[in-house]
Amino acid sequence: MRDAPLLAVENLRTEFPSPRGVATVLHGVSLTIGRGEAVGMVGESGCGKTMTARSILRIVPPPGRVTAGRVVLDGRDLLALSEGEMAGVRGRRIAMIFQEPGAALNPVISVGEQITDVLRAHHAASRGDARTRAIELLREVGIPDPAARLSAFPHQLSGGTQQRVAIAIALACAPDVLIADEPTTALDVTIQAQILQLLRRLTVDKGLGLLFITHNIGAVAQIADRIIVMYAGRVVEDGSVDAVIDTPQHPYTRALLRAMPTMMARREERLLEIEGQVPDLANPPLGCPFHPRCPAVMAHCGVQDPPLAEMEPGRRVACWLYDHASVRPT
Amino acid sequence: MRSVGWPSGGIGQAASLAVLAVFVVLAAVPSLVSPFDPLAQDIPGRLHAPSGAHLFGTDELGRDIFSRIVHGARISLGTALVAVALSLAMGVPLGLLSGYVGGTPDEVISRLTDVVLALPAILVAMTIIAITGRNPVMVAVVIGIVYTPALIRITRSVALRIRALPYVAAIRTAGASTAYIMFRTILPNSRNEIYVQTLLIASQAIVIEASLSFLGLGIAPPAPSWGAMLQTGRSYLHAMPWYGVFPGLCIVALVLSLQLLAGDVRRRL
Repeated sequence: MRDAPLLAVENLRTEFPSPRGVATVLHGVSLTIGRGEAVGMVGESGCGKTMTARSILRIVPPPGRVTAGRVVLDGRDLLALSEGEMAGVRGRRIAMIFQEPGAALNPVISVGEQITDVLRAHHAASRGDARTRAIELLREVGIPDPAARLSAFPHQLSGGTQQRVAIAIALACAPDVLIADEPTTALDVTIQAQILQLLRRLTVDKGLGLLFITHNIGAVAQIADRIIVMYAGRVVEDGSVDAVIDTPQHPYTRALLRAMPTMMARREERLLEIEGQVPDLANPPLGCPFHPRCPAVMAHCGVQDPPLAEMEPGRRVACWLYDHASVRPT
Repeated sequence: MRSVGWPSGGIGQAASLAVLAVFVVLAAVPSLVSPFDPLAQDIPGRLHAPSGAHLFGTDELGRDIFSRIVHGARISLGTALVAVALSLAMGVPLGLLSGYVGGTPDEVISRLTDVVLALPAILVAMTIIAITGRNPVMVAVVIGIVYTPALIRITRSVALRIRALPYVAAIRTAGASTAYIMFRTILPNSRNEIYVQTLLIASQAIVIEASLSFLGLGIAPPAPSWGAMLQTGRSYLHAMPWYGVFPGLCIVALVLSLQLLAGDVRRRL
């Protein structure tokens, strides 16, 4: 039983023209995020996680562009909005935090001004109101003595505090969706856990839809309700955290889980690596993009790209192992 | 912490700042320093060598050269100030637009910049003044226009670099407008590069003003322009070398100190 999703991404396709041909970085990505739901998105570097986030917010760096699909928020397709209307969506409806909190804050403007600027841009609040609200926001993200912190510059703060400030800026206009692109990768392990807890709490308390992008499946397990596994610009598996971690269906998900180091493993046990290389997006293999590396490869895999099929409600996998019905005769 | 306090650039920087400070004081309150009216003629006392009464001697009309140099600082620095203000007001917004927005605005602005940069500054300035006539404000405005492309170029290149940084993407995702990103995100982060360019433009504006006045196209006599004094002093170079040397030294000192300061800031970027 699920309500209509808060954000629905349908068949998103993003391409980068290059001298060697067009690189399709997103190859028909579909996903949904519900209110109060934390969705973890995992995959190797270059699989399209960050591009999915940037395509949703329409900040794909040129010359890349979104060539097909829909991003539906409240029944409105964001891809059809004018740039001016889209600026009103960013921050106010969908906000984002980034991997390097130090680099994501303007180095020459104080923390307080950066927060109040965002508040004043969207709500035309008075200077005093904006300041009061900025203090509240800093308190909410767990920064001690927030009033004293307003005049600090980003480089005077620790990495964890910088990320908290970035979260405060993202929350300034009470967005419905928060996209967190590897928000803990650059932080110490203990700080990572604190930031994860903070994001989890905000998701539940505020009913946010959280899209949490990471290559760390351990972090996803701590924070997310659902996992989306991406490979070569496609969603290859989508399901609840428990289902995906306990009974991974896609051979790539299985390989990814086996490649994850765990605390329990002995030194003698070798970490399993995934053979082969991530495919060249400008010149992808025919058929399923994972088939050259897949241990369970079948003849048909090199012919046709498997669709993302629903195995059961809330569980989707893109693999011919499970979808014989739609195999067309070749 | 923003760095405040005594500049740490060594003797060169301290000397440059001191020279600049002296000229700024002269330009601000010349009457307090100069012993004579710079325009007051004294034909019987013309072409005197430096003495206790006339520190740098007197010119062909008996005017006190020291007083004329002191008042000349106002013309030199005033021209530089107006020229710099004008090229900042035009060059910075255009450079930010060109560098951050890109696309068609960038094409148009960059081609126009190329055209102006392809022409020698002094030639453009001479042509415009030949058309509009010579008055002090026009000279400054023309110099400002001629140096705007330099400021567009530098601002554009810095904006190009900064727009790719994560904090620009971050503030965009918070809903910042293009104008906000240009003036509040990119501009404050470009201020050192713009500052260097501003100092260089100021020093070149002083040279151009002196050159135009030397050629008789700048500040009209009898106003005491260093360039014009250099030109008259040239006629007396063998008999009275000090006439031409003092204004020349002032131009060199001022230009050199501005250039040294610019170099100093650039090294610390």
